[in-house]
Amino acid sequence: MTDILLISNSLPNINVAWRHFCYREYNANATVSVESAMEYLRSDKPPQVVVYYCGGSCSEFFPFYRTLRSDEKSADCPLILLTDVEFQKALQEYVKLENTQVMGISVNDKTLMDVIRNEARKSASRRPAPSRRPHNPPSRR
Amino acid sequence: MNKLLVIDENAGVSKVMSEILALESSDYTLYTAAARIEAEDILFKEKPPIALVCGDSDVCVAAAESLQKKSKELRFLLMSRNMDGQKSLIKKFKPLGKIELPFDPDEFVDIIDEAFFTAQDMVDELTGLYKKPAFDMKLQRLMNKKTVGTFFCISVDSYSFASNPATPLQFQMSVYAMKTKLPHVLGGIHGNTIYGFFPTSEPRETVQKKLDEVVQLMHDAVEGKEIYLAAGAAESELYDFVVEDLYLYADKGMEFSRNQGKNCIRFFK
Repeated sequence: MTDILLISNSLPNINVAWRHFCYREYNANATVSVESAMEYLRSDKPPQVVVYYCGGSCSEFFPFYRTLRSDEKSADCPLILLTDVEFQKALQEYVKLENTQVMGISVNDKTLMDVIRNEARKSASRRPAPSRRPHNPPSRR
Repeated sequence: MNKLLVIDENAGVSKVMSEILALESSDYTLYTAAARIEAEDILFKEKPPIALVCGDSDVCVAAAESLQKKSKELRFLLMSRNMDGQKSLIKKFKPLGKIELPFDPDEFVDIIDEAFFTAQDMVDELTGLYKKPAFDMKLQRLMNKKTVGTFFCISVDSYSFASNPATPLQFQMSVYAMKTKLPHVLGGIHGNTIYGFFPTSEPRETVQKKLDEVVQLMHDAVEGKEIYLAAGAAESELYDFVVEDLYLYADKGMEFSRNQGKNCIRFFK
């Protein structure tokens, strides 16, 4: 199960985007507020992948992106941006975005799921492995 | 309002660029043209001072060439996926800046700012520092982002038997000395006063020592002449990142410094 955080600039957009995440593969949270999103990201169990849904206007994406990348807890968090064709093409060809995949809003669920799983795996492999306590040897009687 | 004409066949580009520029300020209006006729129309109606040309498209380059013939005042910025291969375009358009694709959003804003500052004569030719309106704009943006650091002002006066203002060469040498010691400082100039802001979270004593070294270096750079430097500083966090307060209290610090003797810097408070 992949922990994801869905962000958009309005509730209707969240409702539209939510259809992608109605699967058992996801443990999904959603918010329209950048402050709430940053709280999730700074928590003890942050999401593995952030999905930003741009419906109509993308004017709030860049302020969110800057906030995301300027906080050390979320600087390396994988980000997937779902946006319209025009914005998608422009972003992919003209703008360097760190750790960000740009996809169309009409992406099919299977493709999206594969990308999210891949990003979550890459992100997990970057994190340091938890330390293991040595086994206690069995006591002799 | 700064008008920028973007000559590119990709319709979404100016939308993306507008969003990126809007992060920093609302001073820019972007117009897009994909071909010659549109570009000429915008040049005629809106008179933008700068055109950003996509060097990878022959259609866009042809449009830019046509604009160059029609307007001697129009300046250019060049963007391309392969800037090394654009030597002929660089020679032809003498761009104010070059944008390698894909660009980093923050670097993009800096390049656009610098281009407009140069086109509008907002950079002092002698010292390379920003003139006060441009410096204030950059400083305000840093304060909007709550950047922690130290703002300072240095008054460059020289005294011999008769009072003289600092000569251009003395000024140039002392500014060069300052830039050597503080390479990442945001620097501005107004009359005989140099302004600066450098982001730092070091304690005040360390910053004071560094600024004292800057003032000393500036003094030593002006070999043989009697030159007095009074300087004041103010920390951005202490004054809630308000630009007017930084100016006010750094100026007060400069007054104290003048009264305490030559070549020294004082913080107010």
